Amino acid sequence: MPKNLLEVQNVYKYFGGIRAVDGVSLTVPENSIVGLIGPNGSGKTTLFNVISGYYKPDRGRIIFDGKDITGLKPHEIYRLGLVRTFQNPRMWKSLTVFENVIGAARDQKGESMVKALFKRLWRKQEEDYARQALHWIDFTGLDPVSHMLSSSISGGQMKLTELARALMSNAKLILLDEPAAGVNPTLARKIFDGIERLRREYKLTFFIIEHRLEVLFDYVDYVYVMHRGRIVAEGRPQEVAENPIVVDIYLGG
Amino acid sequence: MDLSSLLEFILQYLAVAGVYSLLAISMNVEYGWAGIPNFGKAAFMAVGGAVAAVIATQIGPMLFLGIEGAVPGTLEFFGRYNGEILPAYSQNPLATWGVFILSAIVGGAIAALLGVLFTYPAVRLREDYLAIALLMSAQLIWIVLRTVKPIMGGTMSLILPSPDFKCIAAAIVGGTPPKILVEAIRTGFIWLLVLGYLLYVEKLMGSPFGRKLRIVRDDEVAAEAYGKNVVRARLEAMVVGSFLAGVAGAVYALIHLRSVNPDNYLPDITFMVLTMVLVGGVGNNIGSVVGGMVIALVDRLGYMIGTTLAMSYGVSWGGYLNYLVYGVAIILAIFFRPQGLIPEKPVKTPAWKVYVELTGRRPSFIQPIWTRIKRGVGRVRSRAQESA
Ligand SMILES: Nc1ncnc2c1ncn2[C@@H]1O[C@H](COP(=O)(O)OP(=O)(O)OP(=O)(O)O)[C@@H](O)[C@H]1O
Ligand SMILES: [Mg+2]
Repeated sequence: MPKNLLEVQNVYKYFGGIRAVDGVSLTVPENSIVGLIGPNGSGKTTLFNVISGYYKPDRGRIIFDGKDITGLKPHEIYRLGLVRTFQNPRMWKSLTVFENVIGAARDQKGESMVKALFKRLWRKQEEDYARQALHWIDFTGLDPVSHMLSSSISGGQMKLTELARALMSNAKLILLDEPAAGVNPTLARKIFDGIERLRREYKLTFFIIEHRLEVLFDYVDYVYVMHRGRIVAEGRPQEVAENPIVVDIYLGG
Repeated sequence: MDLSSLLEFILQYLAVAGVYSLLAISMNVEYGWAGIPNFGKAAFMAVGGAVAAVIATQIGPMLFLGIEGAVPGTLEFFGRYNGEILPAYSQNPLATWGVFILSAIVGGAIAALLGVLFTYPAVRLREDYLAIALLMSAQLIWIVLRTVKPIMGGTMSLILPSPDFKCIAAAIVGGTPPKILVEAIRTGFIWLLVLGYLLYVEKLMGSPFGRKLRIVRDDEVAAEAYGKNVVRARLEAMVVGSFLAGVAGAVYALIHLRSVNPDNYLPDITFMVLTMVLVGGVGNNIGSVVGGMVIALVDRLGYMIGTTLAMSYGVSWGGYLNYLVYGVAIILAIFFRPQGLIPEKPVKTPAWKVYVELTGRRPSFIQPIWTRIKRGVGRVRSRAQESA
């Protein structure tokens, strides 16, 4: 039994009368790929926002890598090795793609306002990070646009930049919010092939929101189904696909 | 206009342009790099002026002249200051430099501290609220300076001992130097400081620190998600910007105006400086200097036209013409050239060297300026040959 990298314990998040997350508990085992599906507005992104520290949960706890991270700031959670991507890409738009990727590197010595003045203190690290950034740019196929401003690339390329940034951050657990939304089916499969490879070769763990079930189900070990803020079904992809509740939610809306 | 008054006008202009450039560079750190619209810029300058006043009247005499200081606002102040302290300064060039250097350092440090203090309560808010909070803090400082007499002496101008440039000029020519040379050296010194500011800020920003500020400015939600402490980054930008503004305030008071008055630090300075950054190029340090030079020209011309109108035609509103020009400049800049005269460039860290090595691609923005100029000249030449 592998250990659980992420444990969400009975988490609630309401917006006024809207019960966006209504008592969710789930686990993501180390080195697995876990899916999170559910119709529009079922609370998936809100759950990611709570896990990554953007919102504080009203109730409940979040345990990451054995530590209680409930209520920590996003940048503190990032430091522990958990990053998330955004459903609607959030580029640092006046920076190039290359800079968007290298900018996500962790513990940059030159980010200190004093050390920044002494290049010899951070040059080597910066050059190493540059090589690493180019590696992930190659990996995500962004090489042709890496020198372009991130505001000038296509939506699909922005999604890939999000992924490259997440990889650059050297996290253990990556939450991906619809990594294959808005890209063609071939590219969607390519992205998931990449994720599979990352899990195998880099021992990463993924928790993925995705609407394209036909692609997602071919790659995930386990799926949670959310509806109106609650987990209504869970299991291996085949089990979930055949679950009458799930069929009902997706067909009945 | 004869030659010497033209020369005087040019020196006056360059001195003003230099001081404005210092302020524009400092504003660019906050607004250009970190996206903080510091509507309280005047107050951080005022801190430099206030510290200069306190040091010149109270601390400097003890420290550098060996006589007792005088507290502005007290009964015996003018007698002692004008009768004893200022004459003693004029006999002692080194003391005047001591006052300047100490004022610049302490003024910068206190301004930096206040930058953190004023920003902290509103640092998490949207940038417009932050701007309002800073504007109100600036007004607060202004009121304190007007009412607490022992600082600047209240609402009347207080003459300050300017660092002595005459002895430098005298050392160059031997004997009594012409006034114009002294002024030229004074202006040259201001531009030396501009160069220092530029070198410092370029070095600071061409680093992961500069990249971090832009990341926070461009999207703070994604910045937090990727490990940037947004609050801290903003406060750091305020520390740097306010320090530079505090030093610039000491330069403005001691070297340029050679006097202080709380009313020299009204919000119109802030908005003038903001105009410089917007016109020159948001996020580009050289652009800030260009903006400072453009606005200083408008400022000087406006002043000249204003006084001419007032003296020859009895028109009283001429002095406000330049404000009209600032307004138009802001609108034109925002509509037609939002990136400013010199647009911002990607952050130039050594990462780009690795990029060029590994990809074999050399994006135009990382080529040295001379190859870009050469290419531009080449293009113009080949076009000229084509048409010939
Ligand atoms: N900041 C907010 N304030 C108020 N309501 C919100 C907020 N964020 C989300 N909601 C609401 O919470 C519910 C869940 O939204 P959420 O974005 O989590 O859904 P989702 O499952 O990610 O949907 P989609 O598949 O469309 O991305 C929706 O009703 C949404 O309108
Ligand atoms: Mg969503």
